[in-house]
Amino acid sequence: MTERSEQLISMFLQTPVAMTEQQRQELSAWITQGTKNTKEFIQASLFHRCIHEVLLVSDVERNRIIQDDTNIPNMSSGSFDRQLWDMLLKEEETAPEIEIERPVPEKEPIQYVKPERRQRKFNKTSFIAVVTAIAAMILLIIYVQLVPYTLDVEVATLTETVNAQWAETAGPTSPNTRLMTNHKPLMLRKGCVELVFDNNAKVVLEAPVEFQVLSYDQIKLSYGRLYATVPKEAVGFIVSTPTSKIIDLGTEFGVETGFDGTTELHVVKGKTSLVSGSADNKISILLNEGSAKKITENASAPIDIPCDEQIFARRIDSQSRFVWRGRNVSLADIVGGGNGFGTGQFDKGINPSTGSSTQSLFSKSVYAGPEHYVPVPSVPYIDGVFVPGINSGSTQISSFGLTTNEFPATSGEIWGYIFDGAWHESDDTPRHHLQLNDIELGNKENPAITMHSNLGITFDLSAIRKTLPGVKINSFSSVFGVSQTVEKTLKTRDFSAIADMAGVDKLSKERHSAAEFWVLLDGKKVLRQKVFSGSKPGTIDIPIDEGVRFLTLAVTEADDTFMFDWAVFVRPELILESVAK
Amino acid sequence: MNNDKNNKELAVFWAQSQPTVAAFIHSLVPNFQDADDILQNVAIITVEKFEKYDRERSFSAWCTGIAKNLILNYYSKKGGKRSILGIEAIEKVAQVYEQDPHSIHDQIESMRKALKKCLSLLKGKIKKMVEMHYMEELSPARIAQLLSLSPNNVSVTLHRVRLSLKACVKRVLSEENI
Repeated sequence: MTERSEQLISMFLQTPVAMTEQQRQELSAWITQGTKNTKEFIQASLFHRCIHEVLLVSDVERNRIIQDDTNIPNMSSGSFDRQLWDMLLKEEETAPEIEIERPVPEKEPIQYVKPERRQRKFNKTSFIAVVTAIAAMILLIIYVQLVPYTLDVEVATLTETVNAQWAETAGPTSPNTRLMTNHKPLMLRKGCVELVFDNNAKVVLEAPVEFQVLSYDQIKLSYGRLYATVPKEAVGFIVSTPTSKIIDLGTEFGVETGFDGTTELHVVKGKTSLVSGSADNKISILLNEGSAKKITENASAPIDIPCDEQIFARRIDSQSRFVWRGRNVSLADIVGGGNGFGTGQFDKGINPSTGSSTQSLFSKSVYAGPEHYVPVPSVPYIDGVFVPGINSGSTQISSFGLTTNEFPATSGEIWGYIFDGAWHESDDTPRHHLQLNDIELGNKENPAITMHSNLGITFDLSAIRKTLPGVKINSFSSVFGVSQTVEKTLKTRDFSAIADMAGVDKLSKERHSAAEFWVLLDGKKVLRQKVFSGSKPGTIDIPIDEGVRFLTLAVTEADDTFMFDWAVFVRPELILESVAK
Repeated sequence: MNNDKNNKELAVFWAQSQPTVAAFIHSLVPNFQDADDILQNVAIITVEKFEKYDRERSFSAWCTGIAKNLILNYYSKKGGKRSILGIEAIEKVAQVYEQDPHSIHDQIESMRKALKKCLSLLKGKIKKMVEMHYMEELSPARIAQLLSLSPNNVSVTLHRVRLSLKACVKRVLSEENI
């Protein structure tokens, strides 16, 4: 292929509409001159397309390309790199002169000047000039390699801030401020900020942090905490730290870098590639979801550490000042008067008769529950409480009049309160913590809602959602059962005085207590399960659609009376997931 | 019932011919998005006119014919009064595809692995330029504007990068025999 035909093909591939009539005719004539030319033209066009596809079509492949040249098998990256650049240099030597000064007509942006063929004579001065020119070119290339991002280009937007205080007065304080490359590092002294890069990668930075936006797909973290959410289209997003480079493969991950450069990478979703080590001894590791590594400057290789999914600010909202760190909503905490993230109090609950919050939970004995639905105005996330099956037929389970016929008729007898904690106490039983599988409940590790039969509680998911911008309720999960501590009391309990009572005979014979556990979504039953004291606890993990408003939990007596139904929902949680805004 | 049969038949034919038709369009339409649009329009027309398709002819040639007409329309729209390439050149390209529909395309496919390696060597400003042109589909004039260079400089650099990548692919294939 001639140099001229290559030039014409490049013009055609880059901006065909800018070709002059003469150039079009010249290229057409060359293509039709012979099949060999036609095939070469086709090959060049398909090669052009192939570059596009290799770079774009496969996200994974594209990522591999961007990752690191140490991944090229059996090839010294340095020598191979040099070969390519040598070719570019060689091309530079023989390439036509570039017209830089002359203004270029808009329709003809490519102006190749065909070099004049001259009789080449060896001349010492020109030889030195050529050597100098090549040396200058190499220096230029080295410069480009070392300082790859020297352009002032807008590549990201500051989208959210919560209590942000920058070290500089000129910090990008207002939302929607565009951030540019080639800017000196930004230091956030207090609060959190969210940046959205132009490739849609989202990064939340938490003070104290110093960072620098390097390009539309790269950020440098000098120190501090960063959480990145990288959608499919932004795969290949890079976080550089003093000791490592983290290359995303379509994930969510947190990075914490200390002042000494020590870096921790916690992969929360998907996969991430971690490159660490010096230039001549790079280590590249693929990290899967739920794994974490620590890199120190002097360590030869990254070391395994437990993945902590709740130390990074993942979502923030300027308006509500909400900062979400990946924690799920604890319904036990809400029953304790909290927001679901730990602001509630243990041993605080709801009075089933009045709907008021109370810390006075002691109940000497069972008593008849209210026959109507009781709203709970003191806790915005709880719609109300009720006694299931107290009236044969329908039971109201929300303040909006939602009813259900699912519950069987019950005695309507209840004990105590619905509360954040897990203990029992009565006239004949000393106060003690409830247990399942030999594990004590009602503490930080195993928060629980205690609700004796026959009690029910309805949570207002809409009210909870309003406090969670950028986050959605994905599902509800919980363990549930009747405390095994019932067994000890039942062993020696004398039932002769109440032997005529329905169900007592069964309880007396079996010496186990049974209760039925219920979960309803907008009044539709998604769980009804009978569980005995001392037996394996039940578990539930059900998805919750966006449209569901009311989540109802209830416990009813089984066929062995309401007595000894020391029932608990353990770690009752709404599982959250971040969503694109 | 007959419709179902036709649909199934068309699906089989299209699956077999699509790579060739796509390659033909990619050969003549360098703008990636425009090429994809034309391929989509070919697919629509084949569905609409499948009943008129003469089973004696090659399906691939029939689709290539449709693509040729769409490309001519595209050329006249984009090129104004002048077609970007002459009709003879387009015919010649179509002729090569009819004679040997797979060889060139297959050859390019085998280059992919080598091309990945060669692309991984690009860095700095040149890498950015290549990404802007081949991924973001920016014209040399627009790239020049963003990078504060002359359009000529960008065009020539892209030209040289293409030639260097071509040479690099050739060498990798000969060195690694992939």
